Amino acid sequence: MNILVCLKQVPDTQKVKIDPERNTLIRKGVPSITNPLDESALELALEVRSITGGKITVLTMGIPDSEEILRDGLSLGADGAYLLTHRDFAGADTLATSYTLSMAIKELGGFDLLLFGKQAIDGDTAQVGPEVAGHLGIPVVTFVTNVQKTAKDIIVVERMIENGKEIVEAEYPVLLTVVKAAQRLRIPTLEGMIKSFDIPVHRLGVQDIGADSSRCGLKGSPTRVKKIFSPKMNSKVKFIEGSIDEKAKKFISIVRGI
Amino acid sequence: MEEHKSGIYDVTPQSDGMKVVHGEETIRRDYSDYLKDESNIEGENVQSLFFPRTINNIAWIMNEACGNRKKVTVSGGRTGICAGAVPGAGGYLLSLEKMARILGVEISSGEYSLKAECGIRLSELSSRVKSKDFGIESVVPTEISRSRTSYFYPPDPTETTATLGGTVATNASGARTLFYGPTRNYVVGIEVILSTGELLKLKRGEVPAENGFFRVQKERGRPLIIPTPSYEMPKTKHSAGLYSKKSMDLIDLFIGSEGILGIIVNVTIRLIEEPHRFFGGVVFFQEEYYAVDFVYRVRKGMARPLAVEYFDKDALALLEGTRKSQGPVSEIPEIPVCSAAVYFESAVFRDEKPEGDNLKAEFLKWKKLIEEAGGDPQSAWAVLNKRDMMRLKALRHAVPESVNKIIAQKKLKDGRIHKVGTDIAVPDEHLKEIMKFYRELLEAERIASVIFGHIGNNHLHVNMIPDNYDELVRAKELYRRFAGKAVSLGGTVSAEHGIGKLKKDYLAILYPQNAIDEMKAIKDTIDPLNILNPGNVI
Repeated sequence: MNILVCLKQVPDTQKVKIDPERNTLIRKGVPSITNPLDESALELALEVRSITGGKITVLTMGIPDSEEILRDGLSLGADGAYLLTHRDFAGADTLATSYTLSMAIKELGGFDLLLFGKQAIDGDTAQVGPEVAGHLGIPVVTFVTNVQKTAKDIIVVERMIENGKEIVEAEYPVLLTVVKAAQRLRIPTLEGMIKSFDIPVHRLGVQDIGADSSRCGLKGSPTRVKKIFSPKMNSKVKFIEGSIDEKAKKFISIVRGI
Repeated sequence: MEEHKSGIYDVTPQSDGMKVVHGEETIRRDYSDYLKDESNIEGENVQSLFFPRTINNIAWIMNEACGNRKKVTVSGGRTGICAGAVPGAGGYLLSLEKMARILGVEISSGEYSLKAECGIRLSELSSRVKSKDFGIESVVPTEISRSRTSYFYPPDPTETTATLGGTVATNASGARTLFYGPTRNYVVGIEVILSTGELLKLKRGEVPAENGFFRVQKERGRPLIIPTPSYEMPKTKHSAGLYSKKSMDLIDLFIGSEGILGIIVNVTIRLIEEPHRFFGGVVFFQEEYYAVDFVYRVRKGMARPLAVEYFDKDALALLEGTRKSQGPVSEIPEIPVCSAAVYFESAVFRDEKPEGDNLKAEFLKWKKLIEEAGGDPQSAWAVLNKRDMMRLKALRHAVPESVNKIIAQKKLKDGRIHKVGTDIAVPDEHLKEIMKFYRELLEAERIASVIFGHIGNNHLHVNMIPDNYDELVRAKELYRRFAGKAVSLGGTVSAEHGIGKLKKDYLAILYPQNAIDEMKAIKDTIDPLNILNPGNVI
């Protein structure tokens, strides 16, 4: 099985604040992490490979520093790593990102199973995975929780739907977007860590993947962000005083009044 | 930062701007959190709870206390587990949480220091040091603000809500104490309000012991003469009773004195350059013996660990139980089947390129040690990124937390039951012997336990979990025997938790009566009315 996992480096949103005047994210001093749902995708890939054998490649698009998350992937046992980094890739929306990723995937070639996190915790669009499948013309299964069966030509996965789950059978090549897994991403082994230092992270630019630079980065992005803001919270606390009976009566009248 | 020579200075007592809560009833009803610490013991009969904001406020409180013959208990982050911050004899309670400002930073002869009020939490302190955003009006020297070097304050007690003053008063330690030493090593100055309401300023190096006494000049009147202790401390990580060394500095008498000599109000600490990159791992062993052997090899080997921590089979079983019952929320990874595990942490100290080569070489050193000790590098974990480092830190923290949960359940059956947790350390060469002693006695008495903690310092916490009152009594007796054995091997009865109000019996195992009398004589000289933190240590 030839597996690809796409990873994204994101700011740790638990630590991000919004600049109230400029309506932008304050990224200064905020640590970067691997998007947690991409970690679920990687964990799923490692589980599948432990059954089917084969190879895992990790891919990301980002600034040169994003190499860190690919290195983390290698330490967990990925066999190869590719970093799409070029100034023409900067400022990409989901359309430009998915185009760029799909061109790289075509260039690398030969993947049976393509795994993405359902969405990234910074943009929360959940569009990139399905759009890549669109560019590549392959089937996509979203909201995947686990893989039930792998056979020579087909894979059976479980996906989350409202009020239940759905079992889906798909032929290769297929792209899956993964939700938070029951199993947290494993911790690298010492052997895996040591081995990973000898694996190179290959850097790819626009020409390396034969992309049309007008479809990449800011140039290829029709999306315009007008404003980012924190919703105003209007919750108020009111203390109800008195004996238990009085409190109960007051509470009922407040609830009735709503 | 303003400079004053060490000495005793007058302070104008002022009660302005200070919140005070009066009345035993009100305090017990609305402020009960302030009556407890992590020992879960609740103090009683507190008549007034003060939240001072200034040194003058504290001087005012001490004047009142002297005039009204009230006892004073000082409370910081209340993270201690020996009831040091629990009011032992009623009277006044002082929470120092409102005094939490950074007062200044400076570089002098190449050393970076920071002065802060006692109530600042370590978490806040470390994030401010990291971001270099000190929230102060005075100018930050450009050598600090413009420098690309990252600095940090090494003491790392598990409870990051501990306050700076509290950690100095208890000479707190953490996992990295193995490499960096305890809090004491980073304190270069303190300011202390004495029971008289006067302010004692101490800079390291300025008041050494001479001919059996410390002599401190006063702004007015005769100098204060304090006898120097003469007993010998164990040569291990140690935090029990007043500090004592042949040629010692008065500042060291106050550090770790658990509040019995004065109220530490301001602290100047030394900050050091942060290592370029931390890394770590966990090694799993099939026999406890191999794990202990690994620790001996690590000490002799080339790898320079910042921390070496232990999990015995019972601690691992507890973690596995928590993982299964809580699922992924627990953050606990699946642990390979084994009988013992050792956590290690190390660092690459300089930004040397190429980084990968350095790290690989470091990890290879550890691999060699693991193989020599009979461990398996295939199953060992290795971590490099911050999130995984945090996961392993959480894993260590989860052990005592899980024990506390079990104890809480046992307590429902019998309210008298509590955890019996040791804090014993021995010299390096006696680790194997003390481990064997723990095992033999625990097995003979058949009391449920976990053993975990700072094995690098031969400082393991044996947490006994009594199932009923009879077992509690036997567990306490075991503690006494463990302590006696450790002392006979040149060890200590408390390596980091301190004595507080709960472990005084063990201090008597460690020291002969004349040593404890010396501590009392020092206390009498500095706090003659015995007002401060009654019931702590002696």
